[in-house]
Amino acid sequence: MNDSISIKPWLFNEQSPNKYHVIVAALGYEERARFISEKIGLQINRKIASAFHTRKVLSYFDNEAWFKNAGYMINEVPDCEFKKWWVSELHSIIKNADTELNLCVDISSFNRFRTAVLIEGILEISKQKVINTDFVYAPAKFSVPSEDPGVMEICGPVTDKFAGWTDYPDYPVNAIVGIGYEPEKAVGVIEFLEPNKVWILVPSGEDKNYDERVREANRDLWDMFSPKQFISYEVSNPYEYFMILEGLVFGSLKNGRPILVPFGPKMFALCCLLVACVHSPYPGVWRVSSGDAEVPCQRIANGKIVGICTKFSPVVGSGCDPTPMPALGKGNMERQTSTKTGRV
Amino acid sequence: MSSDVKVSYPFESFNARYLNPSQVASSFVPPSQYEQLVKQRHTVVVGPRGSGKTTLLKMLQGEALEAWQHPFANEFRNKINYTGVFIPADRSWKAQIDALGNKKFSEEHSRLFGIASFTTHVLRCFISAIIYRVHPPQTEGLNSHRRVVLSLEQEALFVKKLSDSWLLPSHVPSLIGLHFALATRLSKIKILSSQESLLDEKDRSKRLADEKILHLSFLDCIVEAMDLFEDISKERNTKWALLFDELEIVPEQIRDTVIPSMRSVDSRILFKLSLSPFNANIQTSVDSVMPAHDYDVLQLWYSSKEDGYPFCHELLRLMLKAREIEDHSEDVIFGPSEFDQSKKEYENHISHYSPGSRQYERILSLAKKDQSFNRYLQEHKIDVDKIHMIKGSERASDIRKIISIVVVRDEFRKADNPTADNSDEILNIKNGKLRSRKDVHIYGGVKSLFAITEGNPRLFIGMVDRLLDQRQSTDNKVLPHIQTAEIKNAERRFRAFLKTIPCSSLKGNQPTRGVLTLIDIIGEAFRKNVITDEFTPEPKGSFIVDSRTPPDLLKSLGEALNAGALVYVPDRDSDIVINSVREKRFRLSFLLAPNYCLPLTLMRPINLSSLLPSSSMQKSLF
Repeated sequence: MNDSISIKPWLFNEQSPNKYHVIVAALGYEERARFISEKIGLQINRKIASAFHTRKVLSYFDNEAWFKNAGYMINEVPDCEFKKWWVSELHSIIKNADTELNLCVDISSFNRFRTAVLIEGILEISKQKVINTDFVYAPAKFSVPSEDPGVMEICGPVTDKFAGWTDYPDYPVNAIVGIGYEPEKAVGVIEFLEPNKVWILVPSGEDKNYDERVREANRDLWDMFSPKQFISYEVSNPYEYFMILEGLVFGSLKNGRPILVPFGPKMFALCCLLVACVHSPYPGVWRVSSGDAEVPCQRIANGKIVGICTKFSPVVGSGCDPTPMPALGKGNMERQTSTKTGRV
Repeated sequence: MSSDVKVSYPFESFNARYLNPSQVASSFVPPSQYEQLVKQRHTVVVGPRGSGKTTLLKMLQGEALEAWQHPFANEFRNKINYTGVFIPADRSWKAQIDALGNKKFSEEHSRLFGIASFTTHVLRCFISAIIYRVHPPQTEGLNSHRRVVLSLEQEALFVKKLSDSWLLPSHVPSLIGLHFALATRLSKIKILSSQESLLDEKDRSKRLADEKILHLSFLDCIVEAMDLFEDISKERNTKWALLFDELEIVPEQIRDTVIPSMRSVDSRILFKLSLSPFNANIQTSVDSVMPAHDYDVLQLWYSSKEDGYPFCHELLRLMLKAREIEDHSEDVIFGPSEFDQSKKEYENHISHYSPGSRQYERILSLAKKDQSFNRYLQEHKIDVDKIHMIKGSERASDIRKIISIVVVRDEFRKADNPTADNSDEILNIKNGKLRSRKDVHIYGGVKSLFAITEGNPRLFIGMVDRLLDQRQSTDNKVLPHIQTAEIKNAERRFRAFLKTIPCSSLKGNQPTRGVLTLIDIIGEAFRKNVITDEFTPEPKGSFIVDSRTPPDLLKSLGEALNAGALVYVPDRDSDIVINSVREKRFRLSFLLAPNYCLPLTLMRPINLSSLLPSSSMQKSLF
């Protein structure tokens, strides 16, 4: 159990952009990449846009022009250098922070790998200073998914740090799978992992078309598993699904090896990564991806901003160091059960 | 995959991986290979995913043997005079071991941590087996198998001495304490790797050389434990079988220790290993051991479908018994298969081809719409109207051979003259010869279920269990459309799995080679051969990986083989474990047959390279 991390809801109406020392966003091809920056980024002193070096299509160049005009520092690095860049960026940022560092990270257009690396970097630097990070996300309007690329290049831990660990390799794998509208990906990874127990987390509440599409893309799951293995969550309520995930992982660690597989909304993936940090090093977080073979698909913000607040403190043993026994109690979560969603 | 529900019906959970030994025993049907496996010889069990490797190894554990209720159980219990130590491995744990050090370690240091982790795991499994032996069974009515009695003092002495030898603390002088100490060691190995990844690489070799727990040999440790156990329990020459499941997953250096050890290890140790058929890196180790002399190899798949029928038949019998529907024959419940009529059956019951019979109607129907089939009949002087009157076993055999092809062509081929066909059923036309139909039930029937599941117990139990859930309450029959739907579901899930198998990433102009993409290309080519091309009694529907097959495809072919999408058809003297697919013959799994409109038959081989698109087209296709 990692007590150096605490999590609480992010309430849009209670946020003052002035509190942030830095905002970090992704510069990619999705139109929504700049949505949150347009709403709250301008008032923040230090602004960073992390650019992808491939697939500069769709809204990429519009976004680039906007970020430049808005005074964002644009850094373009490939995935393999992203960690190095991010850690060095954080080093330079904390030099100027007085006591605690307040970050706002817009994960809307980051991929799962980069989101994981963002957290890894924060964990590493938080050994020196408290880092408060608000992870924010702009849910997208429903759009028809991109063409199925057919070939998976990656099916494994999202990064080495999130591979997870076990002191009991004979314990069964338990899969906690968030589903999205990628056809049959969830079924495929479940067959691949061959877990003993499975929980399926079903996103809902943003768009009826999306909900229907998710169900259609995963119809086999409803045949394979009993209704009690399905847990519905509201995309706009990250703290709630963080708590659900934390509970599932906590329960699973008693006699199993939990592996989280977050398809679906990126905020859900972020919560999986945070839960893995809280119970570090035991849960694994996996991704299944076609890599650059995936066809870029436009995503337009639906007008909401949702988020979750995290605090990473420099407690000895923080980061992804293991604890000698599986988690024995719930983490340092603030037990608030409701969050508000901001519509702007 | 099981739900949280407690397993009450023995066939409810069909993946043996996480079943405890007594749960495995409750539904165990011994295939013919089990008889070979139990022998006091080193053995390598080879089979694709789901072929029952884990079940077989688990059925060598004492707890499973004690719980096993079967007419032959006592006989096997008496034969097995060793203690099975089951050592599992899986993909997620392999990924965790591979990730140690966050890619900051050299290959040598990564290997060191991997071996230390696996060694600790093996020792813990060994202690589990000793715990089984020295603790009395918790359930009454079991058939005791190789239990011994140790006093608390003897146990404490054993633990104390072994802890010293294995460099473990002995705070709690019990086997359970020792078991826990080994779990704690795994945690320490993880901590050590995390710490090392943060330290300077410069002195890493020296620091790691000083960490004694990273340098234990699992075989030496086990021999020490065996010696100590004999000393304390007063047993002599007790044998232990190390049951390594999915050996291809364990660290390479452990594999390289295990396989050569089959030649020269302490005679008290037996190795029982499970492997997938294709192992690019294992053959070198295997070559150092002479198969015929040093170990047995057991093949767990059936390249000829009929070879798997006895096992499926027995499994089905027990499933029906468990549901108390023994008084209905499997033929009645699932119906006959369109693809299976034995030679004997044909010769004895030629009237199957009488006017009005299903086979007769098939031949007649195809003859009406397929001009090439008509030509074949004429050339062979076969009169459809008198087909049931054909005499002579040779001619009879000719008809028997073509019936599977006739069935799929009749079902899926569009009429050469559209007026002869029911045009309402023509939904989709490809190459001008194919039709797709809303309701295709030709893959139902008990023998077809046997074939489609490939004698693969996990698939068979899963599929048949769901079908039996849907049987009619009045007569216990499982209707054809229900069988068809379930086959389609299983096939869809299998394809989803094949799609998930990761393939190498794009590098420059090198195309990616997805397993499913490749299988689809092969399947479509076979469909063309069997359905849309001119009729031939023996179309080509299996392939040989010839020398012109692009090297990029070999790894994907190996993965398809291990996944069970391809079935290896070895020659009589061929190796069962292969490190190259070159010059080997394969067929598609029958589970995929409905997707490509293929018969459930092993067909003639063709060179793979001739099925593939031209090299310029491959780049766009893959």
